[in-house]
Amino acid sequence: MRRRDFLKLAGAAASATTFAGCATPGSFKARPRVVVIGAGFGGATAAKYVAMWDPGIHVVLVERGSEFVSCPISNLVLGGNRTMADITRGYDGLRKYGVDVLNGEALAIDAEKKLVRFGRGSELVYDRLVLSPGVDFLPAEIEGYEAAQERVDETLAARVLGLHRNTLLVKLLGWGIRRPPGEDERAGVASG
Amino acid sequence: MNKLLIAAALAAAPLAAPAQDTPAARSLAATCAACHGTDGRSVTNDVAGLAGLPREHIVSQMRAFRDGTRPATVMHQIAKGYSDQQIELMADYFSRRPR
Repeated sequence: MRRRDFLKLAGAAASATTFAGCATPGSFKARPRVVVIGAGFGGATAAKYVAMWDPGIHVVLVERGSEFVSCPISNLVLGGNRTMADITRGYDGLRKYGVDVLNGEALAIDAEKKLVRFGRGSELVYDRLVLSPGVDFLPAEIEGYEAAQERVDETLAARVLGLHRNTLLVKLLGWGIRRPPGEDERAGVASG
Repeated sequence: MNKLLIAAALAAAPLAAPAQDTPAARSLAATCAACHGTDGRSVTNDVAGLAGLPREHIVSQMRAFRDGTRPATVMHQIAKGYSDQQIELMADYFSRRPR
C-alpha cells in the first residue's frame, strides 16, 4: 500500500469534513476506489449509483460546498412559491449509501499517478475518476458585459437570491438546452 | 376453472419471475435518476415517478416526447437522445421496479 494512500484515507474514512489533520496514520482494508469530483446532479448521482451497485467499491465524493442548491425549480423561489430551504439539500443521504463525502476543493489531477491533489499537500489516490464539476460563468465572453456590469446581476445565484438591482442581463446560450430553467424562462419569471 | 387458474398464473408470471436486468438496461435507466429518483422512485411531486409504470406507457410517452406530440419542458429534448431500442430497455426496466 502506498503511503500517500492512507494519508488521504485517514481523512476520508474518518468522515472528516476537512483535510486538516488528515495525516493520522491508520490501517485500512484496501478496496478499489472511485473518486467523484463535484456533487451536483451528475456527480452525486454517479457516486450513489456506484456505491449502490457495488458496495465493495470505496466511493469518495469531493465537493467544495457543504450543501446543494437545485437550479431546476428555482424559478418558483423567484416567484415566491418556494423558499431557498426548499431547494437546498445536504449530503447525509449519500453517506447512508456508504459514500464518503469529502468537503474540499480538488486543485489538480495527476492522471499518470492516478491521484487528485488538494491544498496542504493532501492527495487522494483513485482507481477510477469521475469529473462532474458543473458549469462556470465566463462573463468576459459576453459582448458588452463589462460595460454593462454596473447594471447587471453577476451570477445566476444572485438572481435566485434576490433581485437587488434593476437590470437583469440574460445571455441566450442557444437552442437545444436539456435542463430547466431555460434562460428565456428565467428572464420571463424575473421580469414578471 | 382450470383455464382461469392458468390465465391467472400466466398474468402473474412476469411479476413472479422478472427477467434479468442487463447492465445495458440498468445503465440506461440510471440516466433518469437525477430527476426521476433512484430506480425511478421520485421523491418530489414536481417530477413523475417511473417505477412500476406499464412498459407500453413509458414507450409511448417517450416516443410522444421525441416527436413533439406530447408537449414538455425538457423531456422533448432528452427523449431525442434515445433510440427505440434504448427506450424499450428503459421502459422494461422501470416497469419491473416496485413503486
